[in-house]
Amino acid sequence: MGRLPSSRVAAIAVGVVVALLVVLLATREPAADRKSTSQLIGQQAPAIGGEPLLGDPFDIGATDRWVVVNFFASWCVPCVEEHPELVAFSEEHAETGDARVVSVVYSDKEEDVLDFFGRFGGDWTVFDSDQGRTALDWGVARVPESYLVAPTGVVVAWFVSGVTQTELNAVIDRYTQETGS
Amino acid sequence: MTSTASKGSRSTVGWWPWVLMAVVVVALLAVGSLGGDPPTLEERAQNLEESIRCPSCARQSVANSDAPSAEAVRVLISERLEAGDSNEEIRDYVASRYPNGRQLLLDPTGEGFGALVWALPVVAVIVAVAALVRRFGDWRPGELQATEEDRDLVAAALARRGEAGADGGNGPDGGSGPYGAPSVDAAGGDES
Repeated sequence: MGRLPSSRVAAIAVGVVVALLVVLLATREPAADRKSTSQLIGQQAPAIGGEPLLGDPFDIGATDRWVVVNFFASWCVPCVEEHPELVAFSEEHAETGDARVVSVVYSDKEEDVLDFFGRFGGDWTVFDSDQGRTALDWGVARVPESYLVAPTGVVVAWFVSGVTQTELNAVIDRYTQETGS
Repeated sequence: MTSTASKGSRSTVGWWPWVLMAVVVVALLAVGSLGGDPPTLEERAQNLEESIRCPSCARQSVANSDAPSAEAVRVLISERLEAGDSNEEIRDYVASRYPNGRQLLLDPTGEGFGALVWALPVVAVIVAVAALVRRFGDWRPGELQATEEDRDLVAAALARRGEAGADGGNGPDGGSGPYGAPSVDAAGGDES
């Protein structure tokens, strides 16, 4: 007859489909290798909503300085640990006026935030959490997270679980050399 | 009634229940999926909250989590729904915010690799039904009616067996059966 029995055809079809699936899955990029980076790198910084709890109102879209946008909470231990670094960075650049820090509260009470800044220092603008909307727009899922925004308004670096003065200055120096500005 | 006539009428009648059943199934599915009131904003919000993973959690959906990030997504969903955004726009927005954001979507999307999850079961059902139809399409219980020719063949075979039994020796299976000649043989076989 020359025709394969239908059971044989079905078995071959199933085999081919399974083989294709195996090839498809084997050649995909492994989930573990997928780079976990902020979607914001290279993008224009989103607006910071909410009201300032401390400091002057500040519009991130209308500044010609480097801006460190720091998401924090008073209950977060790494936030307490990184805070002196931000204070040092802020003081260093206050003289030259080329960079500043703003903080955004992440799920915290106003009095705890005021107490936090009273104890650990820092005199920059602190925005309330705006019901978490600012954090969502920036893609913040855990604190602390910090974003370094270039004077052009583009996000150039993302720091999770703490940032240091040295790291921030290194990125600014590298970027300044590259662009020659 | 000849066997040909019987076959013809059976196959004509045989398809009607299937057509009727298909019509009923399609009608019920159409009523079930298209009928009813459109979902309210609260229902859509609930569905969305269940279909998006809380960004700071390992497995919980936004609906099941008290984490601040889940609360933020809930606020976003209600704001966006009231602004008239579609479910897919809201899901896309949340996914576009976070690193590896597509992984926050608990329902796989219907595009790319995720489409397989939706398509494969449908393909499997179609293939299975097609295989069943192919396998059992010709099968008609009760359609087989013995003709005179068949009866003659059986009678001849039984007669041969009967002779073999009489010639001596019990056939290996020459025993059971309601037929006259072999049953004698069977009685003999039992004694040995």
